[in-house]
Amino acid sequence: MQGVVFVETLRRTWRQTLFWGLGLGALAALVVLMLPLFDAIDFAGILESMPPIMLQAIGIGDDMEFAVSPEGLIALGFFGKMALIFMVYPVVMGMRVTSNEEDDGTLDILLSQPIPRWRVMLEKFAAYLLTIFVLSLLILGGLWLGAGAVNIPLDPGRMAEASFNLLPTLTLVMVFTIFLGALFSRRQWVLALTTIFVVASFMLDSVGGLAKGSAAETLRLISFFNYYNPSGVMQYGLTWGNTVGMLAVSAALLAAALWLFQRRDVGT
Amino acid sequence: MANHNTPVIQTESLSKVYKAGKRTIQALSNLTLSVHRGEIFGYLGPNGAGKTTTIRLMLDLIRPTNGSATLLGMDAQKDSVELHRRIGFLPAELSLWKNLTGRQVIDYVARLRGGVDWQYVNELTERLQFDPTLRVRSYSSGNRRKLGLLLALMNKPELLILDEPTNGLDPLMQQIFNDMMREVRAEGRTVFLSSHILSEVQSICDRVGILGSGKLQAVETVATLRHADFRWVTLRLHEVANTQLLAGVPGVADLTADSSTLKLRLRGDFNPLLHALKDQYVVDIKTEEASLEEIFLSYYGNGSNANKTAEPLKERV
Repeated sequence: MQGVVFVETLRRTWRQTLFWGLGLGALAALVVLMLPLFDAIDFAGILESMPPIMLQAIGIGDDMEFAVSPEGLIALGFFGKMALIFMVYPVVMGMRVTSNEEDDGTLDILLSQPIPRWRVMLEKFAAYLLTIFVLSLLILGGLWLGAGAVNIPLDPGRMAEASFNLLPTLTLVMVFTIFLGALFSRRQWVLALTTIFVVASFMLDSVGGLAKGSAAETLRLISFFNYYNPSGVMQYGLTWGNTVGMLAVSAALLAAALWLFQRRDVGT
Repeated sequence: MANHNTPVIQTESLSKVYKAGKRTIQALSNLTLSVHRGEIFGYLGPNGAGKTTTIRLMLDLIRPTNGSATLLGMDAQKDSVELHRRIGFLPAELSLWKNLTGRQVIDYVARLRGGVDWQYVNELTERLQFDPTLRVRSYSSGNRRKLGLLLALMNKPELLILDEPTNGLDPLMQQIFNDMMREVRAEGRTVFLSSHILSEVQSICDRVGILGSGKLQAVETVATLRHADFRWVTLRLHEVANTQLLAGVPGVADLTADSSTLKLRLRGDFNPLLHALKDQYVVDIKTEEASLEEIFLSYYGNGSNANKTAEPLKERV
């Protein structure tokens, strides 16, 4: 029956999504609440005294003025530095699409019902995609509440863009996890390879940002974090090329996952 | 739609090879088997014989290396979704969503199947003495099995595929299960159940397929197998035992004596044995069911001695 898996997935997930969203939203609010402290400690002066390589290492480019602005601090301190924390959620949800159920054995019961395999995967994916959207909304809510509490004028449009900039990135990570789940029947393999993918991408992006003009900078192009770019989004708005590119890769990976899962043995 | 004479299950040279690194494991080899409408078919074999592999192939959870399976006149792989609507399935190792209650699991599966007759579900719940209000994680293995049976039965499927269905059920519940299966048969529906316990299969099945090392060794009626059935009997007498006591007693074979203990293989009724012992003081009688392997060795090896090495089992499909 259409939509049964979608509804059931949402029913079982809404609490966790709410907790994750409230947690990340609270973290966002906390970062905004701390913004006045940066003025108090003369953060701009501290940054000016740092050598350029150190500034690069902490993710601050050439635009010092943006870096010490509220938007810049939110982009760096929250969306940038917390990026790895955000990635935990789509990995957990991606594992739930097939890997966990296959490892637990519940997939046998599910797939022995009159529902095609592709629909099970697609409905679960759609449900978790919706929860990622809700997560972004709760983060945006946290930013808005924090800004209201300390009376800092933040551009609401930019805050929304920065929050929704998470969507293609988190979707890509979730779909990558789903793809591995369609490829391998062992949960440990899926978790290990996804972790390597996320951490290696983060490292490539970080090192590539430091070593301008080197091979590392070229390698950075294969890191999805390079296209996440929260500072760029906060300064200039969403880069549609990056957004569409990541969504296109996600769509291709999802299609491959559906194809693979439809054809392979389950539970072996 | 299958007509009345079409076998409900028909496999043709169904084979499955698993690859584990460089090793290949032939889990099922050229299985050709027919199961007819309205029969209870027992699929017997020791652990690792290929019973679960066969069932997983029928349900399209795994794909055959060779051959095909047709269920209810439809291809098990191509028409799997439509078939699943008409099949009730209970896996050997039943895993269910641990955080859901029994009722929530039933509701979820019912919605996936497009609805269910809740009055019938309640009847089954009552009959199986199952409490659906608890979470799956708190159920005993027997109660999980009951829930699995309920899920398999609740849509009154035309074909029930049950993998070791009575695992974990107490004797009373096994009896209820047997009654339910007989009712399913009486309604013209078909049951395919796997087991490694002959007596369990004997009590309800019409025919039995015997699987060993991934190959179908034989298909027999239960009545035929019953002739081959025997048990091991140990008698402890008050006096020193003598094999001459039971020489020539119908059904007695492989008789050995050790001090006051007699060991023998008994086929058929106890009465001739007890009659032969009427002048003896019998301290104790112990009986032990023969293993499936022993019965087949006895049957196919023309066995006067069940322990001897049997010739390769004859294929009687």
